[in-house]
Amino acid sequence: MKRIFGVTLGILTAMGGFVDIGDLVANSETGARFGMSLAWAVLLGVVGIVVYAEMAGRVASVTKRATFDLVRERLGARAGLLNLGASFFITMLTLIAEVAGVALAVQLVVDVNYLLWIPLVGFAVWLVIWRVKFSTLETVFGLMGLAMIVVVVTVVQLDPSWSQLWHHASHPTVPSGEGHPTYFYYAIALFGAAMTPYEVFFFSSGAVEEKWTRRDLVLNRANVYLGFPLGGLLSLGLMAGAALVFHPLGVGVDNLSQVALPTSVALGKVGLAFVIVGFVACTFGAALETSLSCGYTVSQYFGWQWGKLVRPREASRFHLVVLMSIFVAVVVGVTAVDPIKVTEYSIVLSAAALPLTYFPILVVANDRTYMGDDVNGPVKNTIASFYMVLLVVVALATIPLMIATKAGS
Amino acid sequence: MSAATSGAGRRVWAVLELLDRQLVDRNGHLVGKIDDLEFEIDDDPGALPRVSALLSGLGALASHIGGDAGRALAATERRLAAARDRQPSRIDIALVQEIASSVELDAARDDIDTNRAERWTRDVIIDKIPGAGHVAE
Repeated sequence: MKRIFGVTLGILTAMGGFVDIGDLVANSETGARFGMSLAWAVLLGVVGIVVYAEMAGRVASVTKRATFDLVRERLGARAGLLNLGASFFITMLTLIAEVAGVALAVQLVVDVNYLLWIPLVGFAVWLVIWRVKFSTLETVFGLMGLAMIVVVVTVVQLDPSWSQLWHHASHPTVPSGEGHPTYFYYAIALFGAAMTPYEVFFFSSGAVEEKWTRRDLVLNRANVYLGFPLGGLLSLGLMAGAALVFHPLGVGVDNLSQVALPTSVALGKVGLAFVIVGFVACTFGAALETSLSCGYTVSQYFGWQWGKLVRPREASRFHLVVLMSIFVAVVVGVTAVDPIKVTEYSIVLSAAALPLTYFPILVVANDRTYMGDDVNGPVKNTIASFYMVLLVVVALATIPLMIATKAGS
Repeated sequence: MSAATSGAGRRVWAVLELLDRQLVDRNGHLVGKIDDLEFEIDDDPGALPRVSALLSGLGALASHIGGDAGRALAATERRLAAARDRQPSRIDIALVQEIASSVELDAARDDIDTNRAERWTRDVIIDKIPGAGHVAE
């Protein structure tokens, strides 16, 4: 049984990256505005996160050390602190958005203003982290999130011209009426969402929580090769659904109920039910992923006891950080900030911080004194180095593009 | 291998193998990072400096980082720490059991000086919440 459900860590991690509240909307929005012409950015991101999450999981399995532990050790106290500041800020922004996102998803079912749900959602997230075992949490939300596969069924049901979809995706052109800077701004947003740093914080810490060892390297690969491509597929499914339904009409997407519309057009009420379950599971899963990541990064930087393997009182500062993060998310959330805008900003900002997180992983994955024979092979190093260069380029381009395009508007 | 007690001593690269490494107690609990090192220099002419203690905690980290960020951390630490001492928490080098990818100490974390903040958080905040002592289900 452990083996069957063993891949849910990868699935849950990927959902937090690819189909959390901001991405649910961003994927549909890009589909509506750009058709399939940005699909390549998702694929580029999938390969990148697969390569680096595999390394982070392998290092965690062999050495029992999660990613932020390596960040501190390899970058030192100063650069490590800079990365902690940036990563924590980004993760915190995402957490604010997810807590509000769960509330928005619930609002689709129960017609009570989402702001009223936010404190309850925050409490539920905290309670799950306080009381539920890591493997249970990962299995329940990973499997529930699979309801989102309905967006792929939606695309099939809409019976598109596959050759045309493929043509749009494989011969990307900037649609008329959209500028190049805006196009690349959205490309970075999609790429950044795929490679958002809290995925590796969560995945590597989860591997330690699950007590993976050198013997679990196959399980690590199964998680990575299944979870992240699945996340990418859902991302493309949302994009294609919106490209088919909204793009021809020239209608934009800016809220969650519009994201569900292609599915209810294609599959009716049953499809809608699935998609809403998927929304709740993915946003709640992302809220767990980000609030735990807040605790993981801070604790691992300072060397405090962390994790859910021990009783809460034995990892008191870790639990205090998680509790405070959720509290802040609720307080900021009820001021009615737009959660979708918040994640879009946080994704693009995170693109600027990516190299600082992925570089130490690459270094340690090549360190024989740590990894023994399980160091990177030449193929992996070639791909990883290509991505390192790409991440630096993206990091440098991000902020100027954000300013030039007024955040894609 | 004990770094402290073997007469011949052991050669360790301080920045590479000690600084920023994880400290682990006798029971496998994580008890902080090595934020700085304390050296002792004998008065004898020609005597080599030797590491006498590992420094850990916000105080040591703040001076290691320096600059504005360091000053901010130091200010935080002064607010949080008991007023009685201004010295960074130290761990005697004699407690070091093994130096590997992490540094293992021959002591329980409750007996280690650097664990005060963890204890305070536990006693004052976390223990007040129902379920703090239960393993998750």
